Amino acid sequence: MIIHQPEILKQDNHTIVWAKIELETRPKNFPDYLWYRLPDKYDDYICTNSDAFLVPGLVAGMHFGEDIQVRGTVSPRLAYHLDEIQFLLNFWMPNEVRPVSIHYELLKPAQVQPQAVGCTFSGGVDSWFTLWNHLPQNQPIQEFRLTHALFINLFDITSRNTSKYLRLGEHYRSELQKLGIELITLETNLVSLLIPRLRLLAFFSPVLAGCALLMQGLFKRFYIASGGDYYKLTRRLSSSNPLTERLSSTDTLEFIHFGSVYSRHKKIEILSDWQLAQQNLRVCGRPDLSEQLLNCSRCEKCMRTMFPIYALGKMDQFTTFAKLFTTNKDTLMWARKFNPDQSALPGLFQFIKNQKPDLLPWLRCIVLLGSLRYRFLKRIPESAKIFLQRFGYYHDLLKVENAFEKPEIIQVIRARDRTTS
Amino acid sequence: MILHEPSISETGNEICCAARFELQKPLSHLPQELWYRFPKALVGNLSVRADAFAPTAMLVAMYAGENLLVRGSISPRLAYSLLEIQEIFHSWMPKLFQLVNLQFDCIEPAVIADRQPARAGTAFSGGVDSFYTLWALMPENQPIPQARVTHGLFIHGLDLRLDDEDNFQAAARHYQSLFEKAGLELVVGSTNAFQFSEFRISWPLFFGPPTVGAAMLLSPFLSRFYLPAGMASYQKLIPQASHPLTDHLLSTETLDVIHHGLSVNRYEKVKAIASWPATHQSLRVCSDKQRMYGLQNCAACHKCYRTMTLLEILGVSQFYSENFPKRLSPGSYLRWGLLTHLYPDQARAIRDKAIDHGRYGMALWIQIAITLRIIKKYCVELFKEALGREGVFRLKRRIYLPESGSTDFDMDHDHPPTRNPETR
Repeated sequence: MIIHQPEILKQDNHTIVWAKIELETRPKNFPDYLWYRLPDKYDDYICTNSDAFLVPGLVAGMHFGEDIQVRGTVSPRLAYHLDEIQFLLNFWMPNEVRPVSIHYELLKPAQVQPQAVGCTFSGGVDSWFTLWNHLPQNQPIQEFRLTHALFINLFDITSRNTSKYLRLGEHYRSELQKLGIELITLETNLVSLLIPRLRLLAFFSPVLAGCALLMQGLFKRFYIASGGDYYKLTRRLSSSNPLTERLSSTDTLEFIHFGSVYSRHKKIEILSDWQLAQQNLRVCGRPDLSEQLLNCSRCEKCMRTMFPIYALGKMDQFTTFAKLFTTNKDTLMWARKFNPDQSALPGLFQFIKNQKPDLLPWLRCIVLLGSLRYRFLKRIPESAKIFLQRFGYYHDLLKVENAFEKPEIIQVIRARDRTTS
Repeated sequence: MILHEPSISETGNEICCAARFELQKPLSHLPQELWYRFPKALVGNLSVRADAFAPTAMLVAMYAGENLLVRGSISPRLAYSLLEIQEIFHSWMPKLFQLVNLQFDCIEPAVIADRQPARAGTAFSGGVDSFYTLWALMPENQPIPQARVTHGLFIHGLDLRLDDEDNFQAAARHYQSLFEKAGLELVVGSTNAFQFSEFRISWPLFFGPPTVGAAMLLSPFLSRFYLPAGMASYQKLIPQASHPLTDHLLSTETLDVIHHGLSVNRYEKVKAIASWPATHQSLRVCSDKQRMYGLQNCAACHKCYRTMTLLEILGVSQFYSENFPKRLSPGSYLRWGLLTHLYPDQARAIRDKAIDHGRYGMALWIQIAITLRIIKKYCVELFKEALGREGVFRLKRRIYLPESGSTDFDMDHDHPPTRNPETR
């Protein structure tokens, strides 16, 4: 696999940073180019070394088992740690990725002096919690206070919902401005490296790291919000992990995996009195959600979030959920989507015992029924799933062609590539 | 608890950096000061900041259940990470390490002018992990120049008693010449950090912060510090003071701390270092500091047995015959299980390797040792439970020879008296 030297082109007040990717084997749906697109006012902060392409590209190289040749500059600190990243990813997910050799053309730290502190921001519990913790009133150490947040298109929002991304970007920009934090909107096709080959939930971390690495001229420190606590991390193996995420740090940018010491219900408890979070929480994992809605209120992630909110008695204050839990019985709906791997159950039981003991029997029912359902569904053979697709089941909207790609941008890049070569 | 501002003083050929620990409710036999000593030649290269002392002080404060006030400058990055370290240690051992509040008088990064680039140090004790880290980061094995090791840090008081000066010097002289031949430098120092944990906090749950503390003091000239991984692999992560989750959190703006070598298991490590002739007759792994001398291991503690079995399996034990004066016998395995701190997971891994190499007799004896250890551990836990925390502390002070607060040892800056070799 060859990762070519990154290049820059301009388009409608935006800058596109792209790099050509060549694989020996040419798999279907594999992107020819990786690109990032962001407003051109951030041009001064863009770092054109290969770090931003190598970190996400490495996962693809490991998946196809191809040694990687990097034609560009790479941070020595990052290069040193990539062996450890590879070891860990292979150790946890040996069926999906395996270690490869990386050949560097030039190892040299980026010549930048960044000052900002950033984080990824999607509007979810982990994002708001990271934000809340690094506001001046909650973070006594000035160097660790947030100054910027990155809102990424084509990550959890597919290309067909670009207008939603634009609308949300504007909305969150104005909301975060009130906190003194600048929201940067950024688009990238990095996810198309992963889907449909690899599980996004397991391999999304290099995508987030890549976006921050692109802006090494801006960020000296970058938080990646932890999606689980230490208990959950032992059950759900993922590239987003306190052991691996920091290893993507370079000589000038430090990654911090933030929030592993807090469980999801603890985070929700802390956020539950914060009006900004109450009015803007966006946790839904459904890619086909209508443009006007932030949360479907019925998917696994929505219900996993609503349950502790209901237990805290704050359900009516969270305005982004369309269908609320109003009685204990309503919470049984969670059993329809319950995933035991996603829930830190021992802590949740204790939390419910402290907050709303009368909900405990319902939680037990949810766990029992939900686990039975989950195990049953896990045993459905692939052939049956393919058959059921005719009736509208088991359609993965993330695997639709160009779900994480913008053909118009690829066209522009391809034209430029032809001209230069 | 207050961690007072560190100070530097010169005594004889040494320079001492110390900080006072002031507890609200003093603990018996706990030293009042944590100190590190280095050769006088390093006088311009020591940092007088709280960075080196704060992580160790935090563990003591958590043990005592007292809020910690840190006087003196501390790195913002370290101050930020201490909260995470605290949470991790608390989650491992909630009774031993309580959550406490941390307050800092002055949070500011160190400013280092004219630092020579690419100086990387590694903690060194002469054991398998140390030698493996050193080997892996030598210029011939490490392609990235910035990651290559240039210095070793051999600190008296971390694994050897402070009053065992002869023993330490015997090892230090040998390792200094070994480093010199390899084109590297071994910095020798000492600390009384062990006395803060003695009989209270198991040393494996304490040693990380004080070890990194020594490197932090040298951060004006070290930009990177490796802590050789002591655990078996990522698969068997156990609560330990040097851990891939916590070590990097001890980094500051000027010193990058790296937990090195966990992706390689002990068998592979021994195999790698056995191929490096410099390690032959130089391996020092013993955990029985009373019975070892210089580079000669007791050949009767759990670490010696662990290494000896691996050397035997690899067929290289003849290269280390001077380090391990005894041979393995059935009695060794019984002793390993009954009288030492055998780690069942590590022993199982060695047993499996013995089977892979067709050493079935050895595998059987190792299995017997594991079974004995499990039975023994259960009985000891019951006994400890009955005695309680302070009871265990008092009993250990009676049974073992204490280093902290003993009448023949002055905690001030004076040198500890050299121990009579006959007591060894």
